[in-house]
Amino acid sequence: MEIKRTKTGWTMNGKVQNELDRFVNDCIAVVKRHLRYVIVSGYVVIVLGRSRGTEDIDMLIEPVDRAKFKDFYDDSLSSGLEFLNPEDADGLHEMLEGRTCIRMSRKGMFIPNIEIKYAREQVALEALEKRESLKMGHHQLFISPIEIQIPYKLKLGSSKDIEDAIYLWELLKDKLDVKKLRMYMIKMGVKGDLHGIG
Amino acid sequence: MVSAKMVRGLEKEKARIIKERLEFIKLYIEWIKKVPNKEWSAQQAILINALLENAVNMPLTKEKYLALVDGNGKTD
Repeated sequence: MEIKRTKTGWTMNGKVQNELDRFVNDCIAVVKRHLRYVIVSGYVVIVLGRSRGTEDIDMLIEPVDRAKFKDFYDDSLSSGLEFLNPEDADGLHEMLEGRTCIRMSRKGMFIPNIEIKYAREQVALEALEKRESLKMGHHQLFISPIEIQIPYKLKLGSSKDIEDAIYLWELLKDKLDVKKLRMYMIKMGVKGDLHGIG
Repeated sequence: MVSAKMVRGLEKEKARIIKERLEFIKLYIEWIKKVPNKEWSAQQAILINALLENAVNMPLTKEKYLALVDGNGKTD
């Protein structure tokens, strides 16, 4: 794997795009015109090479007002996307305000989909605020800092999440800020030593 | 009824599976670090595209899918 981390983010050229990548790129092309976002959790691990699938991608966004959300909604529909939830733009906005996630997919399909929710908790806000660019050829997306992703995955705690955390650590440990990683592990109340992390 | 011996046996089996999966991840990382992006991602694309193709054929409606995933939380 050829991957570089600089002050401006990650660069990974030459990746063959799969259907999940194409879907994410198409959604992000719309999302970025209206919202500040960050991709977190499973897709971060998959885009960095883990050999597993997922049917949904987790995206955090910063809260937006109703009018701005309506622009995003209209743009999504006219770009061949739709929302799985039956609510209209106002209803979807209310769901987000009420701490419920909404799901976006290609028109007429429900897998794969993007699960969108507001960043509200401290860790989510930091992931959004400190998001890092991942450039792959002419595609670019924003992902959570890996130093946040690893403890977050450990915190989730399922076998799959722990495997994801170990994967990210073993793959990228020479490019990570270990001091920062340890700080987030303390913040989230998780320990990595059982798995050789940190 | 599940006996204590059966539980111990299942726990041992679970630990063996976890160990094997972690060993696989480490071997996979050794491989992925050595090969160009074009190579690992071509293999990954075969896997992911096949998984998505299968998922599309799931006998589920959008409504049932939503109830399933948002009823029991995350699916990723």
